[in-house]
Amino acid sequence: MAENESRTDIGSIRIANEVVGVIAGLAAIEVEGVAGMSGGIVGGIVELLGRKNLSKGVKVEVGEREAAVDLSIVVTYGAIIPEVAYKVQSNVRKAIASMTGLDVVEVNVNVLGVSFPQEDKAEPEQQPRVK
Amino acid sequence: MSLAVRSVVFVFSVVILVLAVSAIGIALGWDPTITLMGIAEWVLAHRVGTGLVGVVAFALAVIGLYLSLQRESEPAGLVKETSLGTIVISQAAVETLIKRAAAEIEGVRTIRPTVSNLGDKLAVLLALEVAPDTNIPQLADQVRTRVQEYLAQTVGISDVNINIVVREISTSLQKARVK
Repeated sequence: MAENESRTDIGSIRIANEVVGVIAGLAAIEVEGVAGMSGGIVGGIVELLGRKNLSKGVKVEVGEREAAVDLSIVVTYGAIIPEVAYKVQSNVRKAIASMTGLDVVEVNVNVLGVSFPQEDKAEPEQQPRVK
Repeated sequence: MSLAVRSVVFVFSVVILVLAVSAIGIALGWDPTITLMGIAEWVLAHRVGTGLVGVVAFALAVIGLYLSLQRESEPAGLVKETSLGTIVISQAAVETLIKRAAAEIEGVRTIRPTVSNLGDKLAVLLALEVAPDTNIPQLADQVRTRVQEYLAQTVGISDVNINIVVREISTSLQKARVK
């Protein structure tokens, strides 16, 4: 696993790429208008196997002091997509910078789908068709 | 499909067809021994020709394998550059939004959008199936306006060229009971 290592007076600190990925993923889904991450086939299989994939849809490239992130997201229907994507970019950048001290040089957002509320499985019961 | 691809597919189809017919023939009692002996004799007598056929078949097989394993390039999306990086709204997402917006117009039964020329502007082709007793030019105008408004609002793009093709008038007798 690739890791970002920094040296201090009393030793070294390593932050795994996976950790940066999880921070980016969580920061992205916090944003209003983001329905979830889109992890493709591999991400779907990992989730089917019962493992919670917190870095689904996130690709990170971490250097010694800088990081670049690619995110694949699904937005909720009705959201203003460029606005949501921009909020995702700034939230991810802020989260990574504050938690790891890395300078985030690039956050690329791919909007791969649109989610509709009625498609959610969490709908508790069928609504009556007429009132 | 290009001419080269069609040629490769044609040759493979003919070979598969010959093999299939032979297999069916064997199953029905045909004895291929004499035919195979004849082919073997001819092949041994014409080594250069056989070699050439082998080289061509090998090249076709390699091309076929390459074409079958080639990944289709990801359709481009609507690209926006910001100070923090790039935002790409995929073609599929844009098509979903268009479908949804067009479906809001009364009289539209099914919508098949095709989005192209993505980059800084959009070209949309909407194939519609509409309800009978619909004023089609009026409906097309409504759909165009709604899709344009919706894309400007949600995707932030106002330069959209929308072409509408009414492919079918719905013949389904089933009508929604409530609106």
